[in-house]
Amino acid sequence: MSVRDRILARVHRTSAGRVHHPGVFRPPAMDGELWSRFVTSLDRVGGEWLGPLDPERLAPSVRELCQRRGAGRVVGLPDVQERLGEGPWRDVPAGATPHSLAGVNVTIAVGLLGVAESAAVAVRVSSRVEHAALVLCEHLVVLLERALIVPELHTASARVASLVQPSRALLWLSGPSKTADIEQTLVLGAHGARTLTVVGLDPPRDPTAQRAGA
Amino acid sequence: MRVPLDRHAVRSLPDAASVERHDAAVFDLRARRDGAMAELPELEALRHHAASIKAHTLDHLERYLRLFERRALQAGAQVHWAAEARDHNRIVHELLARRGVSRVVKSKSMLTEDCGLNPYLEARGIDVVDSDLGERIVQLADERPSHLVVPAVHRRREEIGDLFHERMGIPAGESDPARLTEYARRDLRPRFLAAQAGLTGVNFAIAETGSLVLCTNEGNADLGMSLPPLHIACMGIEKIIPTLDDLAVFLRLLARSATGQPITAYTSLLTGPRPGAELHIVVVDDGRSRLLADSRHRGALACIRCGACLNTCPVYRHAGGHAWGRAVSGPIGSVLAPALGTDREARQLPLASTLCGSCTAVCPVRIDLHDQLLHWRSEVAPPSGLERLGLHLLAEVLRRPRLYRGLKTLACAAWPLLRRRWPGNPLGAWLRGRELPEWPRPSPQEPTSGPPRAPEPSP
Repeated sequence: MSVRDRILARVHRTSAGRVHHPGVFRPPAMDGELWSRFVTSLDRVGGEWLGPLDPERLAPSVRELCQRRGAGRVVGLPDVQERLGEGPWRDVPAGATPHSLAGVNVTIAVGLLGVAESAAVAVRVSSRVEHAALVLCEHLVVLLERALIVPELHTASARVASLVQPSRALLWLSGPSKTADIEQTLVLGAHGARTLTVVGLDPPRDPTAQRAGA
Repeated sequence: MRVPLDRHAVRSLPDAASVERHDAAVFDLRARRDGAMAELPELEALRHHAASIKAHTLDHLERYLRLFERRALQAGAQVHWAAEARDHNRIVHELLARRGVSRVVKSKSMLTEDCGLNPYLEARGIDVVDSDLGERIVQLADERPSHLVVPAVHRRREEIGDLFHERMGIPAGESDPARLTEYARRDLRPRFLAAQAGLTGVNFAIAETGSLVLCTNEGNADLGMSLPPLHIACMGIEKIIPTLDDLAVFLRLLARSATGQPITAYTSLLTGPRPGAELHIVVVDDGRSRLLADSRHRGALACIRCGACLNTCPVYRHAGGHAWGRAVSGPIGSVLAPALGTDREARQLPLASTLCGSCTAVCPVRIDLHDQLLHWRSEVAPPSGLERLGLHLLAEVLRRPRLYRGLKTLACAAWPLLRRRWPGNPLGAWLRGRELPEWPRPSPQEPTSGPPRAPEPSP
């Protein structure tokens, strides 16, 4: 009998199989506007925010933010170029290694979902290179559509279930890297990004509504 | 009975000032936890839910372990099983040695601490760098973590500055936490980049997807699992949870209970290796299945290692984590040690408790810690024949009011004589420093004269 089988047999002997699973947790409804709840939480975890911005103001605002973060290499993860167009941000070159991203100043990623109560933003990571880009950079910027903010993690779990796939990672980021390991003093930028800025996006204006308004 | 905790405690926190500072530091975490929990109206429902998920999982653990293994294998991970700590160490070493790995970065893992993995690998020529800042501090100081969440909480900033000066060559006299953190970041970054393998613990393992969940605030585990092409994740069999939905329950409780944060800064769900990488998962028993078979104590396996019970425990706050002499300290350490440990000291740890129940009150998964401590006590130090006789006599006296009153009168009369020091006084040592409280007059048992007085009308 293998070690595995011995362990499983020992565990099997302890299983009565009588305790039922309690089911999915149903949280109470959350009051208030989700973006404002989200930015309040983000502020508390040491993060920063911009917006929500109109699509026209997005690229100039992110360009200005990158300038504020100082000179250096800016990397855009998948979908960033598509959202922002031309700018100082560059895609990760094909064939790049995770180590080649050491020294990146700003990484820009697209958030899949935000959680109002914890300011957590979900980012999908398809490779070690993307993963390293999110942690090796000095400053992290995440673009997040305002409509993608949900109240709490239970609602979020149902939405991200389809994104948990083999050979992929899903990262929840809540504020910048931090530590309080020295006399409980909070210090931002322990190993990962020193700042995390979430840029809120408003949906494109409905052209028919614009005409009606005119 | 004198417990080993006393001896270690003096070494860990040597003077009143260090005890006071340690107490304040860890109770600050407790206060932060309270603040975060107060904002959660569904807190008790969430705790109940978490406890129910854990109870269900432990009751069906074999099924969920098999499901987790199947899904992890389907996702491309390799799963190894270790019956004992030494098997775990051997498996990890073989994985590293076969690939010629000599430099490893490790993120916080109490399991690997318990197994003594670092000295095992170092003795075989592998350089292991602990990358969590607190863990790095205790590694440089050549000591154990003293807390599950803040491993260097027993160290003053000046001591850390001196340590970094001595071991990392930073300027002498530095004690600013921000600058010390920056020095550590600069020292560790090249070590991350040079590492050939990343070793991590596991906070949760999701059976339905075969995913590993790692929670850190620093991002060190994410660097360790993305830079080197080899990732070895070590987990106890109790880390399994059934579903992704269940994960949300535990993530909402873990960081709140630990530090008062709504969630850790980095929470990574990893399902299999990424292209060009290897992921090895080492599943460890090391006494856990024995504890699982003990219906009275199996609930301790529900622990999610948040450290909340440490932060509130009056014994931990005043003794410090090193007093336990093992990786997991505090109330949960005292409950797990006699079940998982084999040494004599492990069995005596439950004696060092006030049984105040504060640990049970803050536990996010509602482990009945103080009841378990009490139960362990009765196993470790069952009452002697004399103690049993004394309790029996007391019960007889309390059943007879007239005898009770008579003995009370006798005790009051004999008190001055009993307190006095005289050779052979059997109560001498016990009575020294104790005072007989003033007897209420009239005694609650004596009838009062007349009917009870009505309360005074309020103005």
